[in-house]
Amino acid sequence: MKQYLKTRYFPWIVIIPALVWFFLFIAYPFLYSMISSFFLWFAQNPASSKFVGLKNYIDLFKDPRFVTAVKNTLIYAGLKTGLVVFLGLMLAKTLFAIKFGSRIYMFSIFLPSLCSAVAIGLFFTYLYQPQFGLFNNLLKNIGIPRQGFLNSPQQAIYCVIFTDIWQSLGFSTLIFLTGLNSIPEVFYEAAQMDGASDYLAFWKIIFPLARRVFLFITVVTAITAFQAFDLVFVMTSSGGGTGGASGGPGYSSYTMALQVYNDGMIRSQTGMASAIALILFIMVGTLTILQLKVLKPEWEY
Amino acid sequence: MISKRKIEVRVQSKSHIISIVVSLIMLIPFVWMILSSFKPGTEIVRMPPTFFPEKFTYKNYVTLFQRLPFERYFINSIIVSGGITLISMFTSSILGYVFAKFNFRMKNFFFFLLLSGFMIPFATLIIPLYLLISSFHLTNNYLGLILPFCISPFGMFLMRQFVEDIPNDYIEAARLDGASEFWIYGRIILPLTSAALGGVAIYNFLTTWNQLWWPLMVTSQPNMRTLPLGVATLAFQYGKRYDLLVTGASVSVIPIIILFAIAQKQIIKGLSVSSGLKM
Repeated sequence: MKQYLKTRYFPWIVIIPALVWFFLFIAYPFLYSMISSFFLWFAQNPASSKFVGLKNYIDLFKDPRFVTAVKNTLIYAGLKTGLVVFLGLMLAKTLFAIKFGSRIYMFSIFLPSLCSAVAIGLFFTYLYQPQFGLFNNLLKNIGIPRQGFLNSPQQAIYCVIFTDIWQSLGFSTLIFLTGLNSIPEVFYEAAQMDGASDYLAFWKIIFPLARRVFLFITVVTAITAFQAFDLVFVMTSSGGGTGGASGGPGYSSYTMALQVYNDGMIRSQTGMASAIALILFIMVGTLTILQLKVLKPEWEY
Repeated sequence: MISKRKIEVRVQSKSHIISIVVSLIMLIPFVWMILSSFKPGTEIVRMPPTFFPEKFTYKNYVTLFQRLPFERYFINSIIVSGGITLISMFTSSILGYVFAKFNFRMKNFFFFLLLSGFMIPFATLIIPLYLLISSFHLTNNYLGLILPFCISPFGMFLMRQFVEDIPNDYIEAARLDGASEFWIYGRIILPLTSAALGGVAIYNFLTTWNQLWWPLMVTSQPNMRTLPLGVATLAFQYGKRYDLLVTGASVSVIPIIILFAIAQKQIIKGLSVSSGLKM
């Protein structure tokens, strides 16, 4: 009987502290964001905050910084997710075909994923440097005029996205490769026996089986891309030459996450920052649900 | 007719060529970064750039460590990432055990509630989280850096899957012998899920080791900075000093390169496990 009781209470000993943590560090901040987004919010003195309805949201869409941030975030997420997933799949397929030596390749391909975005970002800032950076030097050799890269309002965000793709490719490759390895050999053999071409075998047989992996990578990459912060923060401040505040030149490389930081921390407009945070939540949530619906596996093996 | 062997050779060589090209694209920036950190400041900003240092010097490292307390950043990062990793290993596995092997009221509701933490973008929580931590007076404090990451919803989800595979008989037998639940957790659950737990550990360690945004929010004192934040502040304080930027970047990637070279197999395996694919 005593044993039975112990077993019965054990889950609660574990669950209750976990729930306390959850309410403090997830539920409370989430509700705080939700509520303060409808207020002119004074973080130091919440009692004096004024309810303003949808004003924060309306003001945001009139703010050219925010319009740019949304546009950049969508481009960022779309380009990064699309390319990282596509290139990762192609690369995993290539590595999967290799019989010897794939470990050495995996070392170099995966290394950038292990390093901090800060270090990678700083080094790429040097490569992008318009006067003596590597990229302009390479372009000069093939006769293309000098580009502004991070100093150019049109190019800055794409330079950051490119760096991010370079850095994240290894992770998706690794996961795809794991997925391909976990498919039972018989499927590959069956495909070969039927005389299916490589292309056909891959897309008609192997790919549907690896759908769960595909779903995982797409969702994870998209979620992180929507919150792009580290690289933008580091690369658009020193390289953009805006001195201190990131997102430059001007606000051309703003992302939504960066604006949450700039408005919430630097400009102390908590209500505004919360509204952006909530829009970001809705965007990420919708996308995740959509991806789960579209890519849901139809069978298991 | 082309023989099967010939096709095989062709596929192999094509794959190797692609892999070599991609590997070089990934590797050369690292080699160049580290080589550049040994060049004098004037050589780094010279046009056209040099690959190998013409004049080999350690001066950049000396200057960097004189100007900023990098050894302190390193220790801070180890304390914070190490702390988060150990705590989240414990919470992930014990929550995984509870959700996999017990029945209690509203179990599924609690599970999805905790898991929802994974679905809410960190960007949505970060400002109120900062206000909360500062109202606890935990800014510039290791606890403030660690507390929000004590439970990894993803780790919990993963561990539940792995604990489910342990036969109930093992647990029942131990219970009949009068073993406590903590004993079962420590002596049966943990050893049988150690591979998955290693994956959770590696995943959590790497993500927190590289974290920038949260440390940026909750630390203002230079001696509380973590390594990525320390490197990032270089960009603000010495924005145009590319010799220092490149050296700072090298200081933060060299330990990772060494670690990866030593434990490539374990890291790769751990991270593949953490994708939720059982191998």
